[in-house]
Amino acid sequence: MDALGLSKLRHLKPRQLLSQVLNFALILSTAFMLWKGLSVATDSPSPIVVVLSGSMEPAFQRGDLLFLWNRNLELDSPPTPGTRVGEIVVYNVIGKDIPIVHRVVRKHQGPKTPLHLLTKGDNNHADDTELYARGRWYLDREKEVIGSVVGYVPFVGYVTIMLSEHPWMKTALLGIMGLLVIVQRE
Amino acid sequence: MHSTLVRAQNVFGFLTTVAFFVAGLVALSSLLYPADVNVDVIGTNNVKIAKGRAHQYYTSKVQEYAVLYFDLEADLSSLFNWNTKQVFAYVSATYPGSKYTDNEIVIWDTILPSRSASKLILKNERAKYSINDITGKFAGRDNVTLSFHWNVQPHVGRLTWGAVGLTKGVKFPGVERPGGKKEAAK
Repeated sequence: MDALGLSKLRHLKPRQLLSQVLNFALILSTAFMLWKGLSVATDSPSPIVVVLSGSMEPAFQRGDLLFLWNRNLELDSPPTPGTRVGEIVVYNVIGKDIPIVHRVVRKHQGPKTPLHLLTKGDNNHADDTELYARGRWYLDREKEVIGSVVGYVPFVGYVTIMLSEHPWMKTALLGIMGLLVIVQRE
Repeated sequence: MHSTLVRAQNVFGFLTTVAFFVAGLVALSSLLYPADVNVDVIGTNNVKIAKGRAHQYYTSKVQEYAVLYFDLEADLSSLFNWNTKQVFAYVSATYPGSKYTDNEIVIWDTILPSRSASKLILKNERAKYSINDITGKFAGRDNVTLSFHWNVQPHVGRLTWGAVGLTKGVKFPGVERPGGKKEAAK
């Protein structure tokens, strides 16, 4: 108990303790509301994504951060500007959990059919037909795509890749934080 | 108060703030360089339609392919400024249809990594990708137009797109006799 610096907590009055807890909850809920607010503004379930593969190199490298916009569905009226060929979209294939960032190379739409897209990575030779669900030749814009890329920040997301690919780093990070708590005690 | 840790925290905080603002200014600076793209020629006068199989996928479906050659002269050097990572240039074909009324497919693309590689002069260039429709039928489509597009990828900031040079609608001819079959399936 003492080694973790928790003895400090015991000396706090209940009111102080509660306000500490409230503070912590405020920080968490602010972060959560910012994320969800951005999600509502962009109409995307995941408005910021980290690039995981090199299939769009040299445009995007692993760890780059992408900002998405998902209000360009163009579902009712084809003349309005919407998802175009050449845009870069992020999609989740139904039944698979990995978001893929690739460029739209074909688009087929009719009044009674959903907007069909075919995608391809700039750095890949073949298009993505083999990545799609079995028997599917095209993506459904509304059901599978979570947004089009509009903004780019390099490298910032690499931290998340490191943490998920090297689990020991998570332990190290927690260890350092624990150490700081002890060191910080005056 | 003035422990090593606090100092380190301050330095790191200052570093991220400065990095954030510099990145923001660099992203905004892209607005100072208006794009002035010159496209002199875009056109095609060499289209054939032939039946073939798509042998890169696990299907033996025979469908109609367009074999298309086009000309293009474009100067994209004005798109390169200090915040340009690459330019993705592509030619697309847009055509109407009955079930799918709104179709656009990329027939050729290239990545321009630097200003020195930003002039495109293509004479009777063959389409890079196979050109077939979602319905499998292509022959006799009226009002097929070619257009030239580009996508500017910044080092940091907003991705931008542009397009010019719509050709007048051309009509796809009827299906070639078996002589042209081999070429189409390639």
